[in-house]
Amino acid sequence: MKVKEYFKAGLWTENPVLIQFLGLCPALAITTTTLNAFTMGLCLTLVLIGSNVLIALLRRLIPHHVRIIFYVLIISGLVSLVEMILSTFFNDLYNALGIFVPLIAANGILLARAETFASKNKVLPGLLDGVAMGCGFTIVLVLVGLIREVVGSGTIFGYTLFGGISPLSVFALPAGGFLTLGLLAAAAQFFRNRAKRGSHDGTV
Amino acid sequence: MSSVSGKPGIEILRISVTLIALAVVVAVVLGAVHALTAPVAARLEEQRLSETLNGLIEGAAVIEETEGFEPSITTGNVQVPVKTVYVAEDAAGAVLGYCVEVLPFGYEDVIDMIVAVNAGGAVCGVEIISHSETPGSGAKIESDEDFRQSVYGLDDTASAVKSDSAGKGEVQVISGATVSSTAYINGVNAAIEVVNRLEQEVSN
Repeated sequence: MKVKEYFKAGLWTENPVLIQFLGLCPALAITTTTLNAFTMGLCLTLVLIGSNVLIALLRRLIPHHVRIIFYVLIISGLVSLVEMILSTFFNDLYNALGIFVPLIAANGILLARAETFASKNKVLPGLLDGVAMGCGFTIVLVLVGLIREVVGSGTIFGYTLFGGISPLSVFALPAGGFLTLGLLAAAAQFFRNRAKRGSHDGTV
Repeated sequence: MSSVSGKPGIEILRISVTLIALAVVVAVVLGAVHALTAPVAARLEEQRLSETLNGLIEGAAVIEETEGFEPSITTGNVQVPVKTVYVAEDAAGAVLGYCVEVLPFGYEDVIDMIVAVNAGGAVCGVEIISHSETPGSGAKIESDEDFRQSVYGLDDTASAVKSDSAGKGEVQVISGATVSSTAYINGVNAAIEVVNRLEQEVSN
């Protein structure tokens, strides 16, 4: 598989959030501002790269029928690591993300990639898959965060955009998260179906 | 036990040993990282606190914790826990003011805030350390500078009002965020009360 294909899968055809609907909890909860969304994406990407590499590396050592325990152990260790570093050096961001940093350990994307990809592949493909899937997750989160921040709070990266108009606060609230993510997923499905139909029309 | 012909036993042993070995590795790595980051985190935390306190009371030579304050203050029919009280003194040892860390209960959770009261008994600054108020409404207690500063200068407990024309001893709440605003005002009231009582003790 070429590098390009990993990214095509991660960003679009197998996008963890919009297509596989994994990791929805942070995608809904933490995306009130763009910066929070980006930090969350970055943290998950780091953990995902680490877990994919380690699991690919240890795949022959991990006993098959208790593999999930090993995955969870590796993932939670990495999450604790990221948490310690984040809380020490980026305390403001750590406070903003709150409970969602330790909850990365329970993120479906990590177990899904470990089970379906890293445990069956070598280290380098595992690494590439981690980077690509992490990017796919981060981009969707940033997109949701951007929409919610602009519409819900009238700011972008904390700077006020349009002073006079009061923003649609609902987009800053949980309901707005569902609306934004739902609309984005619908849009993704629309383009996917159109592309599919287009290729059918071309061949038939 | 004798019915098991040895093999499954060895398999279980192998799994256990692998799992324990991996757990030990994870624990050692985490322990090492913690040992490295914990002192840095503690130092940065202290630095942040002292920056906050020095920002609240200008020109203080010494700011240190004091004791003998009430652990909780009842204001506006609610109890407000008092976490710490800092006394700020100038180089000559005269009291410049107090910083009172109070924990009023907001809409979601406690609001951790430090209220600075000068030697004259008037509020001269408020810093919110952490809160979990609703983004876009309750969270305005932190971002809305006009509201935050509307309590500056208060030298006696004030009541929260919704009317446009807040008179003396009244503070106008943020519209749509009455509960959070009231919690903020209660926190300020409690701090004023704490300082009043401390001052009385000193003059007695």
